[in-house]
Amino acid sequence: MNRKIVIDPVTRIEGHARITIQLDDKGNVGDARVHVTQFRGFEKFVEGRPFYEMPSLMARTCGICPVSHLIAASKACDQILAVRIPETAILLRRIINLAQIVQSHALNFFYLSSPDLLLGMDADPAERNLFGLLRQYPDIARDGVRLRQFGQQIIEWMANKRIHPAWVVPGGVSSPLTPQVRERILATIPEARGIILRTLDWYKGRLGSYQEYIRTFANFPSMFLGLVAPDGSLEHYHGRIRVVSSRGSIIADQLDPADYQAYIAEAVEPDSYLKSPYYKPSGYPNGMYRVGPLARMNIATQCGTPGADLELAEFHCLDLGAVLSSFHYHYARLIEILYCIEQIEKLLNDSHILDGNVRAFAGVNHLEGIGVCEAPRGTLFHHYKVNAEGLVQWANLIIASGNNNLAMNRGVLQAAQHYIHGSSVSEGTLNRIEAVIRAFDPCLSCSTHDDGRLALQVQLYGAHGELLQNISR
Amino acid sequence: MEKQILIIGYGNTLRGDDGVGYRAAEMLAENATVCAVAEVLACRMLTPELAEKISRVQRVIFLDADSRLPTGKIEHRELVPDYHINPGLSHHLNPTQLLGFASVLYDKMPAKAEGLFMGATSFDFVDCLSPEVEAGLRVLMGEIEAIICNAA
Repeated sequence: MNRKIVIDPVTRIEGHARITIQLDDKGNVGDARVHVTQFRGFEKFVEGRPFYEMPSLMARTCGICPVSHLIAASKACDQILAVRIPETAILLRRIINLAQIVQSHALNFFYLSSPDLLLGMDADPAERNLFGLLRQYPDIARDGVRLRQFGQQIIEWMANKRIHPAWVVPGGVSSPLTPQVRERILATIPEARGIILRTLDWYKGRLGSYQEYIRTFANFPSMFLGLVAPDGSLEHYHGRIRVVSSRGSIIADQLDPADYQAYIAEAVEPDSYLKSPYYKPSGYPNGMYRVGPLARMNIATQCGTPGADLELAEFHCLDLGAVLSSFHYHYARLIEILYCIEQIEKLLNDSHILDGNVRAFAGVNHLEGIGVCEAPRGTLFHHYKVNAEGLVQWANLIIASGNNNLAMNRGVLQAAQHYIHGSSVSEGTLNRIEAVIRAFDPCLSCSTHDDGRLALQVQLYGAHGELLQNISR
Repeated sequence: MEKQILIIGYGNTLRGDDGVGYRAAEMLAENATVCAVAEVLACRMLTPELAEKISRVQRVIFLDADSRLPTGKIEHRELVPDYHINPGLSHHLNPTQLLGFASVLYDKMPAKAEGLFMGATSFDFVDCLSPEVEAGLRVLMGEIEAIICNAA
């Protein structure tokens, strides 16, 4: 008799998702799917709006990574203006993007994932949260708060607002950096660096205890995709697309992001509002690829900052070829935080960082603009078409997390097949399935409104649709 | 020497009366009498990093709108820490959760924690206060000044 297990909602992620697991009559997992259950509609309701509104409108896609949308949208608008923005504006956009990556990664690692990593997947759900972490590991909890604060403060000091700031605009940024803000940020670097270095220390020390998760959390061959600099270094703001195989060999390199439609297509599945991008030359669904911190560590030849490069070298020892287990997104996230901190310091010491010329002005000179950047969760594409008056006629977004949709689905299936046998499903098992999703750190929407009382309901259905078992927590 | 009173006014200034706490804090930050003895913060939301500041003062006063009160009415409440916190912490905390956070994380809490909440019913997508709340803001200023003067 076939049975279906439903995990709804998936907890401690950004957004709303449901997992459906289908058991066969022997109680083994036959299929598992991740369904993204909220509809946003940004690509439609921006039609008719002036293009220069896009950064502010698109930033509202998310409350965790609005800066990424500001940057991708502004870059698309830069193309519509046909401007080359001032170098100082590029430096400033880079800094704010890096700050956001720090705060976003810190949120996932410390607030969302550390309860599992430190308290255990089978810990009492009433304790397996940030408060539980506070009680048992207060130093680590304090580090998490301070590290997230570091990133958010930089955004607030530079852009006057930590969520949905309006400072990144078409043509550059709206105001230059002041010497006072520069000094303020530099003063916070040593503490942030100290926090991430000791976090890396304790995390690497515990890797041995996570071996089962490393083996089973979305650990399979796949391509990896992301931006790299011309020399192949880690890149978050500009650069070109590189695609790498599971063996670590380069499949495609220095692809123009503006030509993304030539090598990325999007499939639509009937059971989820999240599209499934895939690498076109490999077809669907073989063209599955992963993006985000794990992908960036796999595709980059080097990070380009001293501490991060040392960590990257150690990271590459985990596997021959590319590092494949999605559990290692956590490790990759920590390396990226270190890189971001080092890079922010380097950029703040650039001789042009305080220059006053930070914006280029123009009218509509192209009727199409494509802006691409690396968001915390992966490569983000904004594509707009406008009319001669600059009103948006068409928009397409490939959201960072969307790139990982196929891989998340496959990862959930892999974990479910490993952990679920028969009709008895423990709470810890369900948490492990959810933890696979958490490793990807998907930003399915900005509409997480969990209040500590989210109920997880699992329903087992028989082959004829009859409810066999109802499990709640 | 660090000031021993912390005033935190918070709210969304793009949602009508929800911004009354933020606006009150902005006005207090210009008030020399208040600033002589209190640190004033205007925040769009309460975030975990505020816990450290709260743990270092003797008294904390929160300012916010309250949809359960009649418009313009001000209620002064003592606050006690709440140790039940949402697992995600990705968006916001309320004052009692923040107090609980400070207590657990830094093992210290202000001797006195209180809130001044103003009744509000208009939370539209506007960046101004309703006339009743705007009028109530002046009364709120007076109450806070009185608290500060009594504390000095």
